[in-house]
This record gives sequence, C-alpha cells and structure tokens, in this order.
Amino acid sequence: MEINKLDIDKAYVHRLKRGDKQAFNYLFHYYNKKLYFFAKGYLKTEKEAEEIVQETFLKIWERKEFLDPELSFHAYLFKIAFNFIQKGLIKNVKNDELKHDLADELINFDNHTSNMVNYHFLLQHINQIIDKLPPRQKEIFILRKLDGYSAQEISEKLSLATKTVEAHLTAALKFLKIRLKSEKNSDLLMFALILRK
Amino acid sequence: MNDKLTLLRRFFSNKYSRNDYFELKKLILSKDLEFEQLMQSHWNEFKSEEYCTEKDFSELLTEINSKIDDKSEVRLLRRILIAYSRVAAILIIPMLLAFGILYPKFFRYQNQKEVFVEVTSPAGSRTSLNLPDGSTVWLNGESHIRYPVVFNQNRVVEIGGEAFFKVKSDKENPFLVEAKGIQIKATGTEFNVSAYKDDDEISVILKEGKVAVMDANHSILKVMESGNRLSYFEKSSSVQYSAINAEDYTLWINGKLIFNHSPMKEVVSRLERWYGVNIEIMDQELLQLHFKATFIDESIDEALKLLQSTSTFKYRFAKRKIQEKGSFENTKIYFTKK
Repeated sequence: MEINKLDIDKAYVHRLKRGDKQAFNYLFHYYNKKLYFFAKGYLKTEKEAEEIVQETFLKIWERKEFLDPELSFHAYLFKIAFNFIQKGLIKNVKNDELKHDLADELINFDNHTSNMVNYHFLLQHINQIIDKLPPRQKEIFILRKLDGYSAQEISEKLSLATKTVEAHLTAALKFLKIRLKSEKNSDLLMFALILRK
Repeated sequence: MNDKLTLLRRFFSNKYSRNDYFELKKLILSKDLEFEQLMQSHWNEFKSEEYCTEKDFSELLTEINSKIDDKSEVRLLRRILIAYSRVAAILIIPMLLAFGILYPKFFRYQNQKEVFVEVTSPAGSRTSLNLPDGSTVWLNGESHIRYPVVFNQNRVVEIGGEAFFKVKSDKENPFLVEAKGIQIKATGTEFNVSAYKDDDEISVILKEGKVAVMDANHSILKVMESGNRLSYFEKSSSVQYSAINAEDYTLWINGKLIFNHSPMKEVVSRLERWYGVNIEIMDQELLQLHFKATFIDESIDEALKLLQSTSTFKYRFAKRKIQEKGSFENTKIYFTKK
C-alpha cells in the first residue's frame, strides 16, 4: 500500500513541477488535513493552522520548479511547513509570557504542582475564574496582567484615577487568589488536574 | 531524545505540566536543530484520521489559488516596468543608480539568474578559500566546491571530495552543504565532509558546534554533537555514529596526512588524492593490511618508504611514459607482496 502511494505522489509531483494546477489541487486535498491538524496541535488556534496550510502550499507552488519527484513529497511538505510553524511557535511563546507570570503570581508552584498538574487545564481554569470577575475589575485586570499596560496607562485609557485602578486590581487579585485556594482544597478538582504521564 | 519526543506529544495533546511548558519553551527559543528532528519524527508518526471537523477545506484551496493568481499579475507588471526602464536606460541611468542605492531590493528581483563560482583542487594539492559570507573552506586533493557569487537568502554550497568548513555564525541563515547523497545544515561550526564519488562511505566529522545531517530526501539522519563522526553508506542507507578525536581527521588542512589504523584501500585512495599519483595493488592479500602513520611535508617517496618499512608490502615506481602531446601521465606506483 505504501509503495503505491509513493508512486502516485511521484506522478503528481512531476505534473506539479510543470505547473499543472490540477496536480496541485490533488496534492492539496490529500495532505492539507494532516497539515492542518498537525499545525493546530502546535499553534492551538484554527486561524494559525489555516495560515500554516496556506503559507506552506503557496510556497510549494512558488518553488515548484525546484521540486524533485524522486524525493518524498510528504517529507518535503514537512520541511516547508516547519519553518512557518517554528515562526508561529516563537511568536506565541513570546506573546504568552505575561500569562505565565500571572499563573505564577496566583498559584504557589511547588515541585508537585510544577510536575504533576495539567498546566494547560490550569491556565484554562484561571481564564474561567477571571471571567467571573465583576466587569470593571475584569477589564482593568486583563489590561494590566495580560496586556501589560501600566496602572498609569490604564488610568489614562479609561479616564479613571490611578488610585481607583489600583484598588480594582487589588480587589481582583484577592478574588482570584481566594477562589483558587478554596478550589485547590477540593479533591475533585485536583483529581481532574492530575496528569497521567 | 525519546523523552523530548513525548514532551512534544504532551504539548500537542494539551496534557503537559508547567515544567513541560518551560522545557519546551527553551527548546523552541533556542532554535535547536534537534527541535526540527523531533517535530519531523512526530510528523512521520502523526495520524490525522482520528480528527474530525466540519471545516470546509476547499475554501482554503480557493483562497490559495486566488493568491497565486494575484502574484502572477504582479510579476507581469514588474516585467513590463523593467522592459520600459531598459528602453529609457540612457536617460534615466543616474536615476536608476540612485534608486539602486536607496532601494537595493528592487534590483535584486531583476537578477533572477545566479552566477556561480566553481573551484577545483586537483589530486596532489590542497586549496583554501573564503566564501561570500566570510566562512572559510579547505579543499583536499581531487575535490571541488560550487557556490553563488553572492549569498542571497540562504547560504548553499555544493561540494565533491573532501572539504573542511569554518562556518561563520548566523543563526538566522543556516549554512547548507550539499554533497552526493547528503545535506548538512550548520549555523556556526567547524566540520569536515568526505564525499568522494568513488567511495562507498560518506563521512562527516564535527569538530565544533552542532550540525544536522540529512539524506537525499532531506529527512534528518542525525543531529551531531562535536567530537563525533558520522558515516553514511548510501547504498544500504545505514548510519554509524561514534566519538572520535576530531583532530585526526582535520589536520590535513595544516598539511598533515594522518592514518589511524587505516585499511590499505583507504590508504591507497588517500595517497592518490594527496600526492596526485596512481597506485595499483598487484596482490589482493595486501588489502588486509592496516597502517598507522603521520606525514608532514614528506614526499611520496619518503612516505612510501616509511609505510613499507613496518609492513609486508613493497613498492616500485613505473617508468614515466610520455603521452602523445608531450606531457607525462600521472606517476604510477605498483604495490606488491614483500
């Protein structure tokens, strides 16, 4: 079965190299789903996954003259996609820094929590609790802790006194910490969070 | 390595710990060559059949196709512009020059053809040269290198034979060496490649830094650490990886010919390439012999004298025949049993 597939690919790559749009479409239909879900697993959003698929196939088309039908298209597809996925990962990692700082501020990470707790789940959980904040507090909290604005900038942006902003922040933090602490003691929650490695 | 692969899988399936995340973050930001290899393994094993979605992928294809059409329109416009500018060249040369200085990118697109340089080091000599990015390469006997006059977006060179590279560090722009059957990717390192057409084995010796070695399919064979040697046998697609003393394999750039328990076959081909001679082995038994020696500035005669003194072969030089055009053919030497 495998050998057959490689031969089929080879024929389509030959045609693609000569600019055959139909061959391009065929290869797209065969591989795009795998690429989409692969990219989504790493970049997490539909939009980014779509971009990867687009950028990759576009680049394959643009460099079609350099295709070698003898080489595995599956491997070549990865090679092209990897560069875009890597760029996306670096961007995400840099953008998410504040999110992780916040988690660190709200939760006391000891050896156990750092190793055994499902961090992804935890971050989602934090987001859910933030959602439960009263609207004003929520707005200010997100601007400060997730978007990185200073208290000064927020007060200017929302036309509030700096003292008011700070009061809201303190209240929000307190709310979150209490919520998390009480839930931490709930065995049910902890069970759900434990990673099975 | 397998640990790191499971790390990737955990991240992928959203079942990772905080420590996992920060370990992965380090891997991602370091732009480690290993990361590509890991993800490639994941790609090879990944099955998307289990995933379902209502997503309409044909929409995506339509978008891609419209983007392709847009780009070809732009290219046509650009060609018209260039043709127009050529016609009016005499009048607007000064303007174009200024344009070229201020907007070099504009002119780069006009130069679709790349100009290549090819340097050959014949048997019996060694050559060293600088590449357009400041990297240095040494070529051993019977070797060549081919590279573009200007490194545009990536640094790609092609070699045959044996070469030692001192690659200038540029993490954004990896350095790629293509030799028969393999490709080597490096960012800033020192390594030796031996890929002679006549040899069964291709070897890469990494002196410093880190390189990724890929096969003809561009699948990663190994991400090498310094102080190691990779042997690749193209016919059987087999790979051997072992720790060695890199200096033994790279001192040839300083004029040192080193044999370290080398079999006769290897000694003969290396002597031929080093001295530019032709050696014929008259007795098959001699192929069993191994040699250990270091030569610095010895002539072929002195070298052979030393080799045979502790071994069971003897040599003789053939009479030099004058060829038709008046030149001499390569020195020919015969190896026989003592």
